[in-house]
Amino acid sequence: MVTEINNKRGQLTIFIIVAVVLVVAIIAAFWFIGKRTTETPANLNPKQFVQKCVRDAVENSVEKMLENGGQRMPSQAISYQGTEWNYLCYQADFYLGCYNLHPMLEFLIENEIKEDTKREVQACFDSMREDFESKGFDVSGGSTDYSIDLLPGMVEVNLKKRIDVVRGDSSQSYEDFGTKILSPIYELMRIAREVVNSESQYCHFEYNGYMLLYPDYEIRRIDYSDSKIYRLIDRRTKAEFKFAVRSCAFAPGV
Amino acid sequence: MNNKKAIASFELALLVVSLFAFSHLMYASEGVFEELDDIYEEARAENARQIADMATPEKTIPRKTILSSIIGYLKKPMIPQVSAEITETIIGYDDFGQPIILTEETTITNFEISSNSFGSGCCGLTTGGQKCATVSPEDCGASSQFAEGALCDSTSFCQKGCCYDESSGTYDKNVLKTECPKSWVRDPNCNMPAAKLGCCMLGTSSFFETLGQCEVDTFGRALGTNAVVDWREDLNEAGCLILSSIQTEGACVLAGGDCKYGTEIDCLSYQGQFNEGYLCTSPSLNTSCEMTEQTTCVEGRDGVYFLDSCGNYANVYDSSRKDDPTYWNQIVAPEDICGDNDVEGGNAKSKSCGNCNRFLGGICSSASEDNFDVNVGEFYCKDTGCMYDGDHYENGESWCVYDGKIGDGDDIVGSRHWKYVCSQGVTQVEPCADYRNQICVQSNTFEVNGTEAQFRNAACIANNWRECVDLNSQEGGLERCEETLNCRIEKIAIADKFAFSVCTGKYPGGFSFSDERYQETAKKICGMADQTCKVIYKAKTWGGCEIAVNEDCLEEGFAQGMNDLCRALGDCGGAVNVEGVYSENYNVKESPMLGAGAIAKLVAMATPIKGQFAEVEDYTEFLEAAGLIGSPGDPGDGEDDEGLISSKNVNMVGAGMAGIAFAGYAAGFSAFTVAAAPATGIYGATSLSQVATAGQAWMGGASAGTPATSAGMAPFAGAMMGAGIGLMVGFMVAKQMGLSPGGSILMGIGGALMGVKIASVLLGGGNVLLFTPLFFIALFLILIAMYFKAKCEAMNTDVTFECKPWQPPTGGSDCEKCNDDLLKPCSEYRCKSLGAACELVNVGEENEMCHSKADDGKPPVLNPQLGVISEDMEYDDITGGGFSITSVGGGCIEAYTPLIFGVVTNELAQCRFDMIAEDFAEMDFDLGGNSYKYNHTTTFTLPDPSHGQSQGANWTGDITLYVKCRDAFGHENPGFYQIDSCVKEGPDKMGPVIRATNPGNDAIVGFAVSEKNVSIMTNELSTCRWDSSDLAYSAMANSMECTDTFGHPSNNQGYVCSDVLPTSRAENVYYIRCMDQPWLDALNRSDERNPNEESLVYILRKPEKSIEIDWIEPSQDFETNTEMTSIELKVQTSGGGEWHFCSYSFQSFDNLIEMLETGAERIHVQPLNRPAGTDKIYIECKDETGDFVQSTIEFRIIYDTSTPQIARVWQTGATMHVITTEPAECIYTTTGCSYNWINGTAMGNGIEHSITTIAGKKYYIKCKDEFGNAPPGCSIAVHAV
Repeated sequence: MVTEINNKRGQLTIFIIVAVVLVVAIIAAFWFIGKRTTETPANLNPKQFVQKCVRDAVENSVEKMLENGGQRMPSQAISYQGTEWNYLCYQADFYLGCYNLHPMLEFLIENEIKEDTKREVQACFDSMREDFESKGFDVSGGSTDYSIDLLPGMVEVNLKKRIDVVRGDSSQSYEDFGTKILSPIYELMRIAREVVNSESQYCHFEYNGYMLLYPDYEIRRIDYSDSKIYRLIDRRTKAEFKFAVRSCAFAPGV
Repeated sequence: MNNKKAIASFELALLVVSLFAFSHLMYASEGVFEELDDIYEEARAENARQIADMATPEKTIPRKTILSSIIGYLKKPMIPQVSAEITETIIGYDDFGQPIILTEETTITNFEISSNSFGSGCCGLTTGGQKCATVSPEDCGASSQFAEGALCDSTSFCQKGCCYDESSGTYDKNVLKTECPKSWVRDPNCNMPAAKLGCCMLGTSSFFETLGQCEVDTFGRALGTNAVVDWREDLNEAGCLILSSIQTEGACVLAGGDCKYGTEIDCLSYQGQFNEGYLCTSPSLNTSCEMTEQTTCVEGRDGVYFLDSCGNYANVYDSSRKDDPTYWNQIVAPEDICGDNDVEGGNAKSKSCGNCNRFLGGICSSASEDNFDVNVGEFYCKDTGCMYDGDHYENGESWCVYDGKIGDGDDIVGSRHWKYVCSQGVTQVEPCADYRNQICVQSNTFEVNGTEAQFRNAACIANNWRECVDLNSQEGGLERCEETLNCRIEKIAIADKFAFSVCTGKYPGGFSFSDERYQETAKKICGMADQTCKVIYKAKTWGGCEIAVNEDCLEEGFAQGMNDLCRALGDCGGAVNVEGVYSENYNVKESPMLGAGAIAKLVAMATPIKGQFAEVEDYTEFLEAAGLIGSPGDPGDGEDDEGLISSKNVNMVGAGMAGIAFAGYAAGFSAFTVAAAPATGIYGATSLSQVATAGQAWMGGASAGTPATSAGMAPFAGAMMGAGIGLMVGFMVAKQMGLSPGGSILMGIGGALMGVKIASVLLGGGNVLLFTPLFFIALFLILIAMYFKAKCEAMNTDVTFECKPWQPPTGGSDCEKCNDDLLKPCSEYRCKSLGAACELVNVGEENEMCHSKADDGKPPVLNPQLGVISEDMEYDDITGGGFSITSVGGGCIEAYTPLIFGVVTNELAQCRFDMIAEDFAEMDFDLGGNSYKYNHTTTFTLPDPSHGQSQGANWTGDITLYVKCRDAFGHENPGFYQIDSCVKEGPDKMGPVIRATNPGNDAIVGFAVSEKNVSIMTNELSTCRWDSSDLAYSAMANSMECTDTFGHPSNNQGYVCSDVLPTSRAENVYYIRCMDQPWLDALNRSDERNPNEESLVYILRKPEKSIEIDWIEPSQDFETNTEMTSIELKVQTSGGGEWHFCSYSFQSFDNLIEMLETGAERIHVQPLNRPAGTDKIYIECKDETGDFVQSTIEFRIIYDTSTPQIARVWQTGATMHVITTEPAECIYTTTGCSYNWINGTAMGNGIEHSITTIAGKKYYIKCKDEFGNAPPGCSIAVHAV
């Protein structure tokens, strides 16, 4: 008799446990399914996703521009301290002023950054799409309108691309992925232009006076071989624009 | 307050001196100093006006005046256009006005702009990828354009221009058209109205930029399209910067309690409520901004500022007032800010006060980065001063540092000038151009409104040493030497007759030690100091010899003096490197070398002299001097003429003596004529004049005796005649025998007595017996006189100094010292000067350093330089110990034929050789120069041994050259490397070869020149003649003057003969022949001499007319629309010779600058960048003959800022006619004066304009001229009727 009672109790316990497990499982299932069904395109933030990705790419590219005198890779350079210093102004002959190799430096840099990053920018969209598609969204995109503007204190990324994110009846469109990156590259580029214009005309740029007038910038010039190595440094950010000039070079004798 | 004002004035002065001293401001006004005191007030007023005028920002404001001379001084190119390569000809003049002639034959050419100049030209794109470079045709890309002999600037495909983009306001100078992605105009200086710089206000910051850039910057800021472009074209850069710091600022309260601190203009853009003088934290404004303990640096300002919770900066950081609400209410007046009294240090390193002043010594900086403990916040006033070598320097000060003594030609080898700059507490180093191509000049003070301020300022400027050296080859160059920048006269006054002056650089240039091309030119430059001092002996009265001239050349002072000249020419001679290690690169014969004392003085030069620096000189003159370049391709007639004429004057004296000697010869004293051949030059002249005097005395005596015969006193007269003849013969014999003066007197007396005796015997007037006591007395005297025979001429000594390019000492123990001083970075030049084994390794890498090569301990191995040998000769019997040189197929080589041969070494080495086996240091000749190299090639000519033998020399046909080579570590080849050869020995059946002429054959002489000094060079000692007909040598009428002596050709092309040839016709033809072995005449073997069988047909031409200037442009006044204008000065010449060189000056004909494009062409071009105003240009053109023509041109450049005026308006029917005062483009509207140009209706271009009108309507007409000058409103408003 006692044994029967004990068996019933045990059986009941098991039933209760099974019931609890089932209930938890059902609740969990509902919770999980419910959660999935409540996520809509409007809840997504593809813009932030892309902007961060693009910003990283552009920042890296800006670093390259600073390092290589405004180009992805130096096109004509001199080796100094293990680095290739891109010539912005060059004269092959002795005693003559240099040719400005890269006029419209601002446009050049903007274009270089764009060319340097456009694949990565596309990859940012691809990455975003893959991520969203893995979550069950349909992502479609239009053509990309991408450009870079150097502005005082910043690099403006103009990025327009129509992105439609769809799930079921819910959809969301995004168009402007533009962003801004703080960088003194515009100011440094402007100084570089001033240096090049002066070097090409007078074979000289008086950086010491410039530093007195504009204390936010440090300019270092090294006469190396028969070229001049210029380092334009923004004192606050320590960003450094590097380039070389060969103007009015002297012969080692007659 | 007064004190503050003084500080402010000092600040401004420093600021402005930076403009003057540092030249980067192109458009600073002339009267900046005077205007500064007014700038604050003007700027304030202007600021207010700008705000008021915001609606019409295009107003015209008068421009500032043009560049001041000081700005111009510093703005000018730092590079002189250096000129001609060192030439032969005159290198200086001795103290007697006689030229010192460099016997090296070269051609005057411009300093090459490229190291590869033979047949070179401008190439659009070289095979090495360089654009617009001067290269040889084979180095020019296959598809590239190539312009032989042209400067790239003068070619169409390499022309520089201005690349611009109006929309962005970007103007880039000196751009190739093919490289410009935007618009391009042929004005490399970008003198365009829209390129004008002005002051762009961006909030509290200002930028000195174009209007276009200002628009981009303004709209690019966060202000967006509401932004107002604030660009002020009347401010210079200094005023612009000042303006930014004195703008009216205040709190701009925005909707919602937000607040932005800034300018009123900004606030207008934000559409906020502007509260001038208030901070955003002011309780009265009720904003959300609150006080914080944060601080910040502010762009364009020196101080540390508090930061409010909205991110706006507030008053200057003052830790004592961080919690003081009144300090956060309004902007505090400057005099109430903390630390206002710290006029010495600008509050540098203050923990409590952020009132920094970068000129006084402080500037805002991060405290944490500098490990500075500040009371509040993160920023402090960093000390901007620097300490160097025990001296304190203020921020912005710069100074020169040297490696040793400088100036006076004493700069040491391997040294460099250094400019150090104190930049915000950090000492930066700027090396001036290596090889001392730049010098560091320094000034310690500057003047502001009559007050002298202390501020050290240094600059690296071009070293003008090339021009100094070149002046020696220019007519009147020595006179201009001391007036020319960086030049000085090296006066050599070693002995009584060995004194001359040479123009050298104050700071001699450096030479590459390893580049053979530059070592070759270094050899020529150093060779200018190769001189010979002739020490002349004379006989004592009663026997023996004594030095008559130049005794001091035999002392050590000769080596010292000549070595000083040698060093002053560049890296030459005995000199020390930067470590004070001495290296001997000179040679002295017949005089002592430098002693220990002299060398110690040289070593001392490697220690810098405290306080010494190169002074700033007149830079304007420097430019002018730098423009005086030599004449490419010019045979140098002008200079040569002078030299040759002077030389000829000397030789004419010599010719006088030769005539006397010839008289004696004709009188039957032929046996003594050879000994009478004089030395050339002033010494010959001296001795000749003595002879001439003696001759005249004798002639006087002879004529005095003549009347006695006619008086019937025959015996006496005969005796006197005999005495006279005897005296004459006695003197002449004495002279020919080289007797001393005492001997000559005895010989003369003896001769006279003998003459008396002989005359008595012949005329019978006395004792007819010959052997009387008188005869014996005479004979006794003659015999006694013979005792005083003194061959003093044989003792004459040529003391020579050979100046060679400096070579580093052997070994490499000092190499690493080049890497020691971080403030003096090593370079190839510096490194290699420390030791022959030093080399710069890891070039271009981070760990670039000077390092010694490994010493293999082995001497160099020598081999013949196969492939390098004279035609018809070959190397033979090649062994490890040497080789022989023979004619092809064997046999001896021809005499007087250039022998070219060489040896190669398996490592870099110096090689020398001699005819006798001596130590390396004792050997007389460098084999292919004294530099370290692999290929050692030399050329010389061997004389016919029989020629030497015929003059008593012990010459044989067999020759052995002993060669020794030494590597960089001093290892010499063991024993001697022997080169054997033999020279064909007589009988000589060949005539001499005329190797060269000067001037060259078919040369042009000056239009007005009636005669020309001509020199010819022969391969062997000869006599030469010329005639206007082609005759045999013996029949030719005119003998040339040949003063060289056997074995001593005065030109490296050979023995020189010269004469003055008449040049009366347009084409003058001469026939020249020479005959060898002139010494055989004295030996009565004239028949063995060999004349030329054919004449050299030598032609000198004269131009049809003298050089003339046909026209000059610009020739009349013209208008421009910019302050500066790029013009091309053009000069057309005609007539004259083949080469025309034009020079110009803005001051006088004394300081001429050679035009950029001049020479072969007849139109000469000089690009100029000129300010508006009146220009008078002096122009001189000359040709290679030395003929020249001068002219001046005057014109005005009118800066047109006036707008076209309406002269007349009338109506005929419905047509309205408008006449403008100048050609203009007119438009109109009927809506009012405020309309954009593109919205107007065109009325046409020109003077007269017309439109069809509607009666009763009002027409608003606007006209602009060709430069775009238009009124801000309407030109006129007219009612139609």
